[in-house]
Amino acid sequence: MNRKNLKYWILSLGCLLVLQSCFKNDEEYWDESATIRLENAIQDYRSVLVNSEYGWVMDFYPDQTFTEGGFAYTMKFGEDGNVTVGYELADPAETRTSMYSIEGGEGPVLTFDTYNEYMHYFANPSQQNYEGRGGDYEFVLQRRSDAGDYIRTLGRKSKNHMPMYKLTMPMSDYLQKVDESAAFLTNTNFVLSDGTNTLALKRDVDAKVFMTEEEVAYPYVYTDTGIRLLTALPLGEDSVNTLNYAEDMNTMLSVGASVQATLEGTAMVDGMFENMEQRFAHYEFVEVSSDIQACYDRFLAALSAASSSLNELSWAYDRQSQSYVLYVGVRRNSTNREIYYRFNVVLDGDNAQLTYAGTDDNGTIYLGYDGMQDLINVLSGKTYAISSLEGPLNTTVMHWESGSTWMDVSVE
Amino acid sequence: MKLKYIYYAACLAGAMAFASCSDDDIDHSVSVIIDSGRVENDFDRWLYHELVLPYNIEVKYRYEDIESDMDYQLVPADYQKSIQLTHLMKFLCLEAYDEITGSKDFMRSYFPKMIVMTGSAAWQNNGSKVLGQAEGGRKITLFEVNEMDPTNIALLTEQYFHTIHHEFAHILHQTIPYDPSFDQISGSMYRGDNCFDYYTTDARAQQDGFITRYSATEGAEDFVEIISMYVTNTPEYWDNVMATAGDGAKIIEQKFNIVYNYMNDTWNIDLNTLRDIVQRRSVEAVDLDVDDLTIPSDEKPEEIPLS
Repeated sequence: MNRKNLKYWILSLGCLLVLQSCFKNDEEYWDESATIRLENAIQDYRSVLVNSEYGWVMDFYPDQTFTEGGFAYTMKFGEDGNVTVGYELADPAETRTSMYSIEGGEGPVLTFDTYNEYMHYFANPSQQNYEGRGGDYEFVLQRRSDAGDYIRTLGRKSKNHMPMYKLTMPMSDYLQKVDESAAFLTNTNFVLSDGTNTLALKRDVDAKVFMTEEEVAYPYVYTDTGIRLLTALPLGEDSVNTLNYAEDMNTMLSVGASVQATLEGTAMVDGMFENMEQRFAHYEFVEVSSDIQACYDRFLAALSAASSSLNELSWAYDRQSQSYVLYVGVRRNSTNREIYYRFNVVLDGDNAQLTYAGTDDNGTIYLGYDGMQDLINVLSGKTYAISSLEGPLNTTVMHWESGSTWMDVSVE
Repeated sequence: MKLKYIYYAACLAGAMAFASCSDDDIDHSVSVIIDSGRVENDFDRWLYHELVLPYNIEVKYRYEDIESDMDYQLVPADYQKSIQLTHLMKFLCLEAYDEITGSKDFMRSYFPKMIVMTGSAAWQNNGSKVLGQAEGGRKITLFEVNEMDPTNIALLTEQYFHTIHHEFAHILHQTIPYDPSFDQISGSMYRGDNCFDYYTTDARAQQDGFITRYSATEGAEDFVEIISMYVTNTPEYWDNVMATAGDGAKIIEQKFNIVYNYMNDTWNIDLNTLRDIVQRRSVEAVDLDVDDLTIPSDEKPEEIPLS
């Protein structure tokens, strides 16, 4: 570079430096400074929280990995800085009171800053669980509805979104209804449908999580009218986030979605007891058709003649062999014996085809007792239509029918 | 360099100087400090009257992430438990020193300015827990406040007040150093962070001349542990340690003489008198109304002028 060029370069650079400076025509995106906006937001959220007559319910998700669903927390914020908290793990009428604050952090942050037995239940560490169960007690208030009946929060540690909804009834009434919603939902297999699209779901009863066939987890919480999901269930091009019980309590209907979807429990027995800890999950015989009853009576008489008695006769799902058995419990000379007659079960929708598949040595002995072989012959080789006696969402009592042979069985 | 290049450089510097911003109006009426909006309660008022005004000590019983220890999963302190522990701390620690020094000035000058209360213990992944810790002579954090029993003074002393006396003693020797010969007594016997692995019990550490296992960390910890253990335990306890420590008793006694003389000569505090006061107060503390938040109307503590 010669000296003349160098001169022009330096002069040009100097001009650029002059031109770039302080041309204050930048348009202000916000009318006020960040401090004032944060201060205003804090005041706004405090006002919204305090002014709810009945308080709020939070869909509280403690687990970062969503291996378990959410819990309903009710909370009433006072102007005195105290908050009264209830949650679904306690008696609906019970509450605990502590303090709260809303301060500036990465936005307005709601903190339950003195100990509350309910609010800090999941966060409390112990020697066995030094990280607690992961529960948050600091929530970034991210946005709210214009009507002031919904607040989106973010758990500061878990980063879970935990929405808050304004209550329209006393906290204890809401939690009572949450208990009822949980009690009604007893099935494990469901189909979500809008008439065109369907989504098969399996429910993990203890964890409050729906699983799709692709093993995608959809955790949910119970509400006063049904359930609400953390992430909406996909259904064709649409999605469903909230489902309320229909009037007859037999189905659930989508709320607030662009599609009218129905969630129905199915009477399928496949995998119904997979999550139980015991080896056997039993269907107790409630009432049976006359052909089954006749065999049963003869078997009882034969046992009695052999100085034995019948402890139990039931259908059972054997988690060990993952098969269904006719389970017979016999007592003889102060000794209990368990006998299994195995059946292959082929499911097709709500139909189940039963075929006898053999037994062990003990079972062979009792096949020689009057009535047992005939009982197996009556049950085997038939396709049963299964229906629920208490509505599709509740399969505690199911009706199995094949021609004149039928049985009502109850989940123990 | 030729002269004209100096001119070019001067022009460039001038341009850069003028490139600085024009007058921005600064709104001095707006503070960048955001109002917490916390509503003052009875405990806040009691704290202000009983600890802030006389001692310039702030008790933080409400959880603040900035004062919390992010290494641990913690939950906030219970409101009522915080009141009870604060009463006991004031009675057994602050006022014990007030009594021996004759005024609040000593504690107002030297005691850590912030006490942070945390509800849970600071559990570690090996199953151990931290019950108290101090930062730079300014702040003491007390853990597991929610589990405290205000009637079990002996356990509270072991859990909390031992820590408070320990940390306060650090401040004293950091203000005026003790005799360096103290550190030479055990010299290479100090074990650093391995002290708990090396000594599985206090009794074992005492055989080697350390009053507690933690004393074997380093000289300064040894020094303050002697003060803390001496004033928070009965004379019978101390005599028993000396009787059972074997060869370690002479070492502990040698260290104690330095500690005793330091406290007496430097701070005019007789450790025997202080121990008597602390022990007497430990008995009296059982009858203390630890839930009382009454502020005496006729007693107006001197406010510390801001300077």
